[in-house]
Amino acid sequence: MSDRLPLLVTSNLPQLKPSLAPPSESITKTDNLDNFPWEAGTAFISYGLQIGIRVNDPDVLIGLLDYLPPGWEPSPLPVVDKLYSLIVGSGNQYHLLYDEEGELERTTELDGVLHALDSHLRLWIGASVQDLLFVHAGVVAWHNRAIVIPGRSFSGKTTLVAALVKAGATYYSDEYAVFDTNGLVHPYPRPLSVRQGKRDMPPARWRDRIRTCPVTELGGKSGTKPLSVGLILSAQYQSGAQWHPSLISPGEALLALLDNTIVARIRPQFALSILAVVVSDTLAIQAKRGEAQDVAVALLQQLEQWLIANS
Amino acid sequence: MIPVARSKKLLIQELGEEVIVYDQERNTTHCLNSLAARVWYCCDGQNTVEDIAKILEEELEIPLGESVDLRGTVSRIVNELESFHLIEEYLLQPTNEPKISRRRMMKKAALVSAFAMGALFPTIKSIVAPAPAMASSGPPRTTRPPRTTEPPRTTRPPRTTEPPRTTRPPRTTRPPRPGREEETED
Repeated sequence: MSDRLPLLVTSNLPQLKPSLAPPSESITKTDNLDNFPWEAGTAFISYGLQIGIRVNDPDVLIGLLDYLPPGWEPSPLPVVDKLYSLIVGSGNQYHLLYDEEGELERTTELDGVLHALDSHLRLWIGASVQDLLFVHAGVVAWHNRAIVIPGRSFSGKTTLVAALVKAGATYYSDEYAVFDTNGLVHPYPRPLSVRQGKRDMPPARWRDRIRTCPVTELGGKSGTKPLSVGLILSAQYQSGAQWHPSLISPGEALLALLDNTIVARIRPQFALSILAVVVSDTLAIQAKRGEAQDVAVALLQQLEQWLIANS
Repeated sequence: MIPVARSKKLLIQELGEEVIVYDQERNTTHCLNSLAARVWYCCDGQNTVEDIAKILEEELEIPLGESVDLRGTVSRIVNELESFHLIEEYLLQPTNEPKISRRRMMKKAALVSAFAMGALFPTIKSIVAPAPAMASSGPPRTTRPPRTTEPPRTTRPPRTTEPPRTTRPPRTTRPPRPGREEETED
């Protein structure tokens, strides 16, 4: 990753597009940030959006590389649509993360502030890209059709995706199903975010236990081409649950996807029109599921049988 | 009483024999199965519950002598539609013209199937559409959702007039991290 560092560091500090600057009544805020002694910065493009990050410690840029969205490219221009400001504290000082609207995170742990940046960045991209629909879901491919597992955080998506990859499926995402207007799902192949630790750990500590895991570490590979969806699984983890999936209707599958769609409220018409295409020719099931490795093989067989029956 | 389907501030997406309705006032989404959709489409200001039951009776081709409480089923579905704010009003007299022009035929097989299911299961399923941050991943401490369109901007001054604060005690009481633990669901 560090070989990409020269691409990441820009000679000019990134700055927000003037049209996106905060209004005059809150100019003090940006003045304060703009007057901070920034040491380095980066501007990059992701899904057509220009994003900038400025830091007071150039060394932190190396750590940032692990948190940038998949497929990012350096931007030739320092003028950006979104500007993050990261102040790295020394010793016991807080690390602070801001965007143009104010403080986003304050923590003494560098990993924590980088995770917050990662989380906010993903959400902002998912909400801001105009021609793609971001649905919070795990995605793998099997026989050229995608298996989409919508679900919120801590619903077990990554664990199931990892088990599916180990069972032979191709990795697409453990974060977003990215749909185009034709209903095809595109890869969002960032390393899997595997959480470690016990379930009863306080929520505030969860992110401290996230370990990024490249798909190759699981013996798998990432997909590269957009696919139509073959199976939608609405599953909830339940310890010891037996695998007894039941069919759900296309409408119910659409609700399961919409329930995890970033722009469901912001652009419902856009979301509905794409999701209607997505669910129109898919197998959709729901189930309580036990251990991921027990479910993965059954799931792949289920899709395979459905594809044969519908071929 | 003549139920009239609501038509304002709704986005409607037909999906085979189901109908998805997005309520822009409440940010809720409803999935109407074919039976509920058929009843809803019949609520056009022309039909009483009895009239709708007769329409369904003809469409379902229920054999003579078979005892089916269609009126009760329609009444229950209309109540369900009302509870989801999909019935706008009830009239005493039919309107001269249908108040909406969404009435359409459903496939008989889908109607029969939905009718059979409708006696046992809800005919409408519903969710509250998530706000961006709710549908996002990441730790629960993730702060406010991103600005996407043109939300109101805060005027609160930033807390950056000085270098990073050190007045609050650093978190030094955290127990040391143990080694690798079992992986759990994320």
